[in-house]
Amino acid sequence: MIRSITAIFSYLIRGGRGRSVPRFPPIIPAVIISITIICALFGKYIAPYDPEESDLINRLQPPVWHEEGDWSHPLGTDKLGRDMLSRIIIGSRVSLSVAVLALALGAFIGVSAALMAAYFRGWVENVIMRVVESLQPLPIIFIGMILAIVFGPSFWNVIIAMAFIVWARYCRSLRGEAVSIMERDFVLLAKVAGASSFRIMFRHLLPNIANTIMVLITLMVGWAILSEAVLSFLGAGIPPPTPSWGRMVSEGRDYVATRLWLSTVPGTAVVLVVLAFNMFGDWLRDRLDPKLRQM
Amino acid sequence: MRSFILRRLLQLFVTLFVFLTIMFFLVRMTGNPAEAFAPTDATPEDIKRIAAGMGLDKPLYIQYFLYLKDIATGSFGQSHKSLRPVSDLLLTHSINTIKLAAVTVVLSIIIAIPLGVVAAVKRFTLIESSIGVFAVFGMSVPGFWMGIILIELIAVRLGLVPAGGMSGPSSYILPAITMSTLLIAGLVRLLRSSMIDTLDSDFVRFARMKGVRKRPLIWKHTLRNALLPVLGFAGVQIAMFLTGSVVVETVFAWPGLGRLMYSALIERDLPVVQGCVTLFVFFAIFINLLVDILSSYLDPRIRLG
Amino acid sequence: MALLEIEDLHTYLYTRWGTVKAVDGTSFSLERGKTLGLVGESGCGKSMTLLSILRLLPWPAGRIVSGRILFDGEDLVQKSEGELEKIRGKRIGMIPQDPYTSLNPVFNIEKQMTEPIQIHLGLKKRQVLKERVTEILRKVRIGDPEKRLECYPHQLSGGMRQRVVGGISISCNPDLIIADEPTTALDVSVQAQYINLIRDIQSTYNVALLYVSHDLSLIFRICDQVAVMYAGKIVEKGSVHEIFKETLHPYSRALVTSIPPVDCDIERLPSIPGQPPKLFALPQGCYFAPRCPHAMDKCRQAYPEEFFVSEGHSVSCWRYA
Ligand SMILES: Nc1ncnc2c1ncn2[C@@H]1O[C@H](COP(=O)(O)OP(=O)(O)OP(=O)(O)O)[C@@H](O)[C@H]1O
Ligand SMILES: [Mg+2]
Repeated sequence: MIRSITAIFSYLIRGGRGRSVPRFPPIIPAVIISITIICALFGKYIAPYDPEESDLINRLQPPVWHEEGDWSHPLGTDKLGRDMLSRIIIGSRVSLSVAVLALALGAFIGVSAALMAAYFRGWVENVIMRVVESLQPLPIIFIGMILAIVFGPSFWNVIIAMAFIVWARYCRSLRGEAVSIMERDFVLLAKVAGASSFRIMFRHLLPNIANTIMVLITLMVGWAILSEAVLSFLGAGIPPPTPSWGRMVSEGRDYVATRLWLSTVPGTAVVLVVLAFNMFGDWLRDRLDPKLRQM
Repeated sequence: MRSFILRRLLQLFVTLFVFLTIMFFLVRMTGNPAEAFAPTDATPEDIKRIAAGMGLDKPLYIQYFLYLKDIATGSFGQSHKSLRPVSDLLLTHSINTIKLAAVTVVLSIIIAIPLGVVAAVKRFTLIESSIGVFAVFGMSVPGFWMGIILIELIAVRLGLVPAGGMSGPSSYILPAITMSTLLIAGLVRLLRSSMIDTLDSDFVRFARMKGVRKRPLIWKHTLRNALLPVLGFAGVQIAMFLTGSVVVETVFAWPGLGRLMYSALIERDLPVVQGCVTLFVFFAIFINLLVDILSSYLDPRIRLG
Repeated sequence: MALLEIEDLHTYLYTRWGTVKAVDGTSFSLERGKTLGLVGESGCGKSMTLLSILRLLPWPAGRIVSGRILFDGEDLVQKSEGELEKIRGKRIGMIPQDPYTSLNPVFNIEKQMTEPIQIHLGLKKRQVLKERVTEILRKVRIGDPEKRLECYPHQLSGGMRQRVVGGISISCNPDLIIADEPTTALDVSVQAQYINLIRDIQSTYNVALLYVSHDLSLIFRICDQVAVMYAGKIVEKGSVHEIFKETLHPYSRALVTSIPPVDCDIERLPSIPGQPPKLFALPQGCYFAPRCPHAMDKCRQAYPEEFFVSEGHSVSCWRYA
């Protein structure tokens, strides 16, 4: 009994982590991620209203599950009468694009740094690793805040702040593996055969750490979405009027006493999407690289 | 041991230095930095006065030197809003932050260690799956969402504890729970995987060959070793924890540094923001150092070189 | 009655890639005070056999599927974990394969050495315990034992660590010592010393020794009985004289004839043409048939049963049917 409950449960949300790792990803996270990606790409066609258009007559309408709510605005409207559902759909675009751009930028720098450290060793590696270590304790939010107050909040601020943190983590996680691959026979052979350093790094090292890079990226999407939400919540993220989940929560906070959904609905969107990415990332890690196994 | 701590101290000093330098140049990059530091309603005379205080008429390296000197002596200028010296504000608010953080850290460690150990020992059971799901939730739930929901359910509907502010011991409950969730989740995940690896190691197997009973095997032989890699990841955990503390203080109106920073950010009060950020980074570094001392205490290979 | 008697032991590992029949119907016995050598190529299941005896198989993959392990007349397979804890380290001491990783890096030598004595003999006083382990360290010929007790494993050399490990295994005067290639990680000069040490201890205390090694000339020197293992099964067993001088099984022959003539004890297991079979995809018939120079049709159809050529000398090969 308990066994079969565990099995179904695993299948739905964890991709059946048991004694073996199944081929198929966990269903619920996969569905949530697919919906999020579709919303991010085609949100304009899906959203029932213009997310930035206010409609003061219909402001602060409750969602359908509330006794006064109706289907014209399934998730209600905000203080300017903007449709919450449309804002959440379009908000997925902000969340995902920040995450993707920041991680791509961070991964690019981090992977290059790790490859250089592994290839050149010596002082190059030393310098890179010292920098990486000294960035480790810096919380992203403070870099984001400094950027926000000096340059004013913007989309690129968030990305730069995030990439700044991310690259160090990538570099730290990848260097060891890259170094051990450098010492393998085929790389030594390529070196003896006179392959250029660039070629060795990108033709020999990179493909061999690709799996780990994939896993690290997936594992950090959740973190990136969460960080964007936190920065936006604190007013150091995406500026208005672009809909961002984190800022929607903070705008809704003025009404928590009477209209709780204004905060909790976008907050729940963050929770679901981050949870889905984290679960998916865990599954992918178990699948591709059992060595990185955590939970 | 001493050389290890000294080396780490130097390292963390570099972190602080890198951060301060970045901050310095960022502020100087904005056209007229005096304007950035001035309140929105400042007169041109005010701006000139601020510029002179920052040494903007002097060469850049002197400015940099002055800036470092100011920070070293703890003078971060004056708040636009309250017109009080930033250092006063920092002092009064940081105590509240430290109180909440201390409660949270203790709570988290007390909860996370047994959970991580049990999850590793009871592998492939419902217990492990439940702890695993809890940990993924903890990693994924933003503090602001959890805080708002806890306030609504426990403080407003049930009226059990205050909804915000810092009053008696009961006012610690909700912020501490919210803040510890992320830390517990992170620690549990790290500890579980490290425990699993350690349980699989030769020396644990040899301890079993000696006839060591299950309980000392897990809590002495395995746990102590399994904690070392967890401490190795402390930097990231601490960074996330401090980020969490800003959010939680904001949501719960906790009169700490995080909330001070949030309101200063909204009011564009640069001197206060700069002071808070610097102090937070200083905290991050200090906690990292404590962790280093702890790991050198736990690991004779570090202690004895 | 034999001290240790293993009857038709089957230990399987259930892995992601399939079931590995690491030990597949192994039987042998060992008398009190005697030495049994277990030899075979890497991966044939020697370590799994030893770990089955102490029930310390890798978890959750490994499981004893069937068979009996009679130790002093009692079946270890049926014992509870609590009962086993009282046997491990007290009545059966084990010296594991790798001394470098077998000591806990965060505890000092004193703590690790006194632990089994504390558990099994109930001694509590620090001074008594300390005297006892100093004694043991002297017995395993570690100089300056008082000072070594303060050390942590990383401060000792490989040879010293292995002696400490050996000292721990004998510290409660066991009836049986199980040694899994205890010398592979050591350098040559230390190896010889260490073997002599084990031999000394064995003869002084009349301990039975179950010894796994790749080093056949060493086995020849120290063992009374030898069992040759191939792909999870014992293919031939008998006295050391029978195995080395009246070798029957083609696999044993391949092993024995490749010992270098000079008594040079560093020689590793020689290479035999062909690959050892994958334990989760075993061929039909005799597992050795694909590599055997004498393979007949029959060999490819059915696994040979055990044939006794004399009292105590048995072989699993169709040629002796
Ligand atoms: N933890 C494990 N999980 C899965 N399979 C394992 C594990 N440990 C060993 N095996 C497999 O079990 C088989 C027997 O391994 P065992 O360690 O007993 O060999 P061995 O004879 O001791 O070899 P060696 O001389 O190299 O120590 C091998 O084929 C190995 O691949
Ligand atoms: Mg072995």
